[in-house]
Amino acid sequence: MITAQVEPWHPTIDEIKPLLHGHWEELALNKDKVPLDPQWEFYDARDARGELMLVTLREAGRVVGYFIGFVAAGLHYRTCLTLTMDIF
Amino acid sequence: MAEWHDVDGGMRNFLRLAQGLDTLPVLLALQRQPHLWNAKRFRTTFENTPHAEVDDIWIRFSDDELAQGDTAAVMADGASVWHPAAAELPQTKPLILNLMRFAEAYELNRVVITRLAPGRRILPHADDQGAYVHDPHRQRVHVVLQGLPGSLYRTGDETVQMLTGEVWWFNPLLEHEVQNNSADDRIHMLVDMRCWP
Repeated sequence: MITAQVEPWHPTIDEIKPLLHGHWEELALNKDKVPLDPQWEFYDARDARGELMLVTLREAGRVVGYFIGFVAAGLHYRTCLTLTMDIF
Repeated sequence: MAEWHDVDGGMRNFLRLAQGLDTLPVLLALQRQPHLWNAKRFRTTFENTPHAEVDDIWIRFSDDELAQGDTAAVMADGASVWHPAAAELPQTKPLILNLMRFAEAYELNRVVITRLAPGRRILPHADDQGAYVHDPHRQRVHVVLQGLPGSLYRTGDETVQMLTGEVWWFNPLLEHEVQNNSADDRIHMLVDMRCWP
């Protein structure tokens, strides 16, 4: 059975990192011009500010999918808390 | 498993009693003493047990002579006794006594620590047979020694995620099951108490 759950950024991201390259290989366009190179320090900073949401999909305890989004007040709508998707 | 239930919308089969307990002393004591697991096999081996994938440690339970395989006798038995693991896990004592005070308990019954590995299940069952579970004073509480996201507990039509340091009451008379889909072992301490009426 696959379940979805919100998880903390650390240490869960360490389970996700091994999946990233395969994900990029499968889905990314123009890979020769846009290499995979996450700016982890910015993810960490947003997590420290409580602005990052991570949802995992697990099967038998193993991560098989993920969703990452950034949560913040909307630039155009100050009072509207808005999630901007990073990757899934 | 049932779908997620809205925790704020009137949960009936679970009640979160506490969160933020320091469970590390017990976890460390368990890590240092792996021989304590599965010293007693009654719960995990009787015919059609839903707990076949579980490891456990008895702190208090029916005495060894009674727990020889006669499930009806155990289900009726309200006279729990201390087992040797209690002396080897003194770190459980403050958790249990604080819980008893909080719950206004006047008698401590069974106390069992259970461990369920990632990907494993406790099959659907209801603890609704025998005099033990039908004592209206008796309440069952789970102290979550280790619980990570994805450790799901269903009772009736409600499902919750029990996380490290939380304490949950639930209704064991209803059908319940567990799916540990988290990244690590699910380790709970089950505490049965008779509480002030």
